[in-house]
Amino acid sequence: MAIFGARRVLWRSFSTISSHPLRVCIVGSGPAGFYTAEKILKTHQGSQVDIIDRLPTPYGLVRSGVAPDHPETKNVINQFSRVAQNGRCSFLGNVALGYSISLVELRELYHVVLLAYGAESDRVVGIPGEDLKGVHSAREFVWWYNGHPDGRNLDPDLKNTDTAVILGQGNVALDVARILLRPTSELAITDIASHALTALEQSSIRKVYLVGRRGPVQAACTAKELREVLGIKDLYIHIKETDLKITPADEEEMKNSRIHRRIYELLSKAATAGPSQPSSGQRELHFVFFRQPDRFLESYDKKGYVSGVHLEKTTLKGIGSGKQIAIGTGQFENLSCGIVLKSIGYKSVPVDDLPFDNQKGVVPNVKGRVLSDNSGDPTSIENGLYVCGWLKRGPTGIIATNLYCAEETVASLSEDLELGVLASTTRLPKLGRDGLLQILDNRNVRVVPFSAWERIDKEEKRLGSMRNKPREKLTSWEELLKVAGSE
Amino acid sequence: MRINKEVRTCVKVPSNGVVQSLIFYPVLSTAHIILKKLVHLTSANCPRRRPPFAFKTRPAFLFRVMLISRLCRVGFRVAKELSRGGYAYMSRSRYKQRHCSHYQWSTLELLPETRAFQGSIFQKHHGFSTLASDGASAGAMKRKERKISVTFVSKDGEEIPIQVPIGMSMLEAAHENVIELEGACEGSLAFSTCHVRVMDMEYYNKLEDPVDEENDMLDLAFGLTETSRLGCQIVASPELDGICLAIPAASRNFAVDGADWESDKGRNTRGNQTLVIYFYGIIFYIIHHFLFVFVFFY
Repeated sequence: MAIFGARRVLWRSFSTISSHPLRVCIVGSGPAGFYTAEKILKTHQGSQVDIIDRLPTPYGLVRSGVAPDHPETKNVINQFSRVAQNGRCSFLGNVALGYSISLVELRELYHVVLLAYGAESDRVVGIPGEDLKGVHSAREFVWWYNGHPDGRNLDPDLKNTDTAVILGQGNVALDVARILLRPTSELAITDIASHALTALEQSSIRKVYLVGRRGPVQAACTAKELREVLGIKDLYIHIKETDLKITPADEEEMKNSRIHRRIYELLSKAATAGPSQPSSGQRELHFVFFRQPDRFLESYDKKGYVSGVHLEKTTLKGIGSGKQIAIGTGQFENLSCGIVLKSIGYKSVPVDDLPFDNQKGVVPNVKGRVLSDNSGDPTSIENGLYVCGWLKRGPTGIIATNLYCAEETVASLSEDLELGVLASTTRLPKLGRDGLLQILDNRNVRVVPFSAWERIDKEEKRLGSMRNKPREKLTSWEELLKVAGSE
Repeated sequence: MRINKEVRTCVKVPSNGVVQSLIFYPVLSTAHIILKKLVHLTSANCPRRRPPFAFKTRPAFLFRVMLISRLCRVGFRVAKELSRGGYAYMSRSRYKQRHCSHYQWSTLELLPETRAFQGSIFQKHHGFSTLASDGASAGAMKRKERKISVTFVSKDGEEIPIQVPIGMSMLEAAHENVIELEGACEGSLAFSTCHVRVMDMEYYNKLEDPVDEENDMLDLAFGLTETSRLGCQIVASPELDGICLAIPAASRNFAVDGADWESDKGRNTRGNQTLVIYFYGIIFYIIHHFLFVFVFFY
């Protein structure tokens, strides 16, 4: 047994030297990409890992998804920087899969291609009026206040109304509600994008409704975020007492899940504590349960703009295994508002030559190995192609969930290497990074290496220190590429 | 013990380098063989052919055999110590084969025995001073009042006893001893990657109740149990001496080692080091047996 183990150790240490260095390309530089890179570098000595990203800035949603008032969640960036600074790893920004380089070309240049580009689109509600002005996806709104270069032009109108409706009660919904309701003086010292800060300072929104299809026991948020939003200074919280009634099925669900039990306790405590009426001028947060949107109402005065949501009351029905779904009851009511933010889930985007399951919004895979079609047949594996993160599991979980996801995918990769499944590719040397840079150069793509990102980072911190913020994000493509390119 | 003393005095152990010990061992063996030949040539009373069992009664022969086997073990320990670097304690605990689950095991009990064991080979540690983090053994007894003993149990069941200064969190202590406990948010209660399981209910009750923020993070921990806590929130205090903390299955092998990335030496993980040591051990034993046979037949 020891000899077998020793053989494995020796094999891993020397395999890459005896054959050719393993060249891996990871598409996507968010948590999934970096955790996978770290694991591969650690497990396979001699391997070379290149991380490419569409943006000039790395770190994915840690930079553009985590709310500005949660700086400690971004501490994980330090760990990722250390990975990127490893000699065997390089970050290549401003390289878009499908535009700058195709998947087929990447698979020719590298022994292993690993896709970890997450989810950049949204689930649609699928109801009339979804294309009215004023109806935005929460993902775009988050990009907007986090300074994502693609979110800069969103320009949500926060001045024409005092009510905002958010569909969904997950952590993203709570983040959005919190940013809308927090006193802007508190936001001014975070790394929120300055155009967003200006808009929020002029915002007239005073009431926010968080609408969920099901009850408080099924709310998808987590305790920390809920506690935070309930603790905002000078905020009136309203939860209908009748919504807090629980059924035996609810009790069963709470018994099996610690998170749901604690969420319910927090919500019931918040419903009874505090005044029963808001004082004038106070901001309000309403939790609306058991309502699903039926259609968006168009304004009479301003054609093409949303003026409210037509909601249907729901009731819960058990579908077995302790889960309950919402079904409509036929009773309706209206909720008027000037802006609607849909926070019902993200969705991944397919690229050419990549098998994709449109229904689930993920790449069909078995433990990270990509399958050739959606049938789930485990024998039709695409050699040398792997997935990790949201593209593999769907858009759920926290940053740390990617740790375990990366472990699983890299275990599959290592297994394939040992069993010789990838021998046909690993036996030949691949051009890897040099080949990729050559092709990109021919196509006049301005690659942003990690050192260039460090220049951007320094500049952002410098600008931020002038305004008492940790950093002042550069929010347009031109600015980012200019600073990246300057010496 | 007489033999041991002679080993101590006549063996000048190099203070660094497995390579040096690898050179040293064959040199000694060769010296031994030459010595034996000289003895053989100068003793007139011994005929060329002797009944084989007579060898075993000769004290000089016995001495040489024991010297070789002692040197083998010495060399083996040398290789183990040096290739482990700071993991000195793991070799002791593995040798002892005790289990945290008995809840009666205490590293304090172990220390005198390991020191006696070491003392039987070497006079002092200095010949084999490994890296700094090993320093606790000799001073631990004296500094007991400022440090407590904590044992981490990895997912594979491996027990790693360490010394933690009072006031340091378990996460920091784990990182200082290069134990694989991930701390993604660096101890700011934003994640649950440093989640550990307190193996003994008695110790769990001694800990202060988790604050709301810690409970919120524990909600998201994988493999949560009744005695789970976040490693960054357990601070070493005198009443926690001897606590056993188990690292749950999914949070292993991910701790970032700053030195590793800067120098990219590709430091082996614990599992790989074990195999390397087995490898050295096998080589030494082969040499040992080969020379034994060699001596026996000549």
